[in-house]
Amino acid sequence: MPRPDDETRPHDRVFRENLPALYRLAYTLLRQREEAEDAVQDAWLRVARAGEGQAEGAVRHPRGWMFRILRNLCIDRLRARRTHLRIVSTDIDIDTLPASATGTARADDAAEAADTLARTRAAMERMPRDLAEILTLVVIEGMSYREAASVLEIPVGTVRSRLNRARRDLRDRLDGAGRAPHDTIRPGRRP
Amino acid sequence: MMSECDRMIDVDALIDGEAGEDAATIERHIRACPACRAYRDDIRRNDALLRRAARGDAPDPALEARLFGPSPGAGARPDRRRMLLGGLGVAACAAGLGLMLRPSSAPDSPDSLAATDFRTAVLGDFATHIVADRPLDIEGSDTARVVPWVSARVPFVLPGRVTPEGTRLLGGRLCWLIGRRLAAFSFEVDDARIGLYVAGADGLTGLLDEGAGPVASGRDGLQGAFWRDRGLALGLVGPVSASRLLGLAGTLRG
Repeated sequence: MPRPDDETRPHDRVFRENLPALYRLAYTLLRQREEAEDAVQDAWLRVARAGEGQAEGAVRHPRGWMFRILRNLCIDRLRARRTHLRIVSTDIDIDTLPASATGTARADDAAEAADTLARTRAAMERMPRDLAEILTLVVIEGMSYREAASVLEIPVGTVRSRLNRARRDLRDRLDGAGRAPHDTIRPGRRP
Repeated sequence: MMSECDRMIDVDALIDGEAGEDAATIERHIRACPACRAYRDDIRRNDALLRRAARGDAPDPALEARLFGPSPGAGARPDRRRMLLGGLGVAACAAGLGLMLRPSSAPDSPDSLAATDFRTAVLGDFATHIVADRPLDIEGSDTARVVPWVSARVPFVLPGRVTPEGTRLLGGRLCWLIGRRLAAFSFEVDDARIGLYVAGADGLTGLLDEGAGPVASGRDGLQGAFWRDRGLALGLVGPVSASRLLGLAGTLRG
């Protein structure tokens, strides 16, 4: 069994360099900070175990491999939540944010910028996980379509179409949240 | 309603540097297509927002220490701070709203958890991990190696004895259930695998009374014996009879 304090394992460097990115993926999927950290720790244990007796370089694309391991662990946790019939939703309906946080014009630019970021975060947490996930990998982490396809184990064409859906979804959510109450609700959008 | 264009997917590729030799063609199309121009401007703005919002999304520094800490045991115990007000302050807003929006009957914190949640969670975890033969975090029958490893990673003190009489330890793992960290151990007995789950009992209400004898509960062919002892909630579960599990639990309570 690997020991987390063992400095001699392969993959240490890659995992450590990607720790924030790995955490962000876990948070995107699990939407709970502490559980995301636990998932990253579990992923590290898996990576370290797999790396025992392996020379660095034995895995051709270690970053993608680590993301895949983490993602599968997150999916296991999501499945387990369903098994336990205890899903604590962190979804935020941005349409219900109080007026003080929904983007009416403000004199204070800093507050408005923070508000915009808050709405962006809320939109991501409200979005279906597969769409939030592709935005995290490609837009935030800067993965190529090919690398994202490898992590998600889907064809590159699916990455393209899913990313397009995700961006449209985000745009709709942000546009919708920023609308004044008297604005017309778009066809097909939830009131 | 914003107009749409079938080539918006190509705009994505251009923005992401994935257009290759089609880049010039797509740029020409964007110049001629108001919908794609608007879409390009929107996603540039939104992508920038996403990246800025993500800057505050970092794991607790204790996590890095936990994984790569220079000295054995340093920072090994998980940091239990929730840090709801950390990061951008956005998480705090989201968490607050989450509490506001959650139905009042929902178990929204450990304070309102019923012991039945613990039992359901433990039986479910056993089914998804042990029955499915998923790997343990630390494997082996050496109690002196397995128990301290798990103990260093849970926010409570394990009982002095975790191996029921007549069983063979197979290993341990950490799990996250009902909003808290649990320690789990797997044993072999009577040609079957059973599991012992241990959690801090803070906030668990209901059927587990401190010091009372174990109660049996089962689901989907699995049985469990559950009890509460010295501030801990414990569950011994497996595909063996309830009476057998109650007997084994008794050897831990002595």
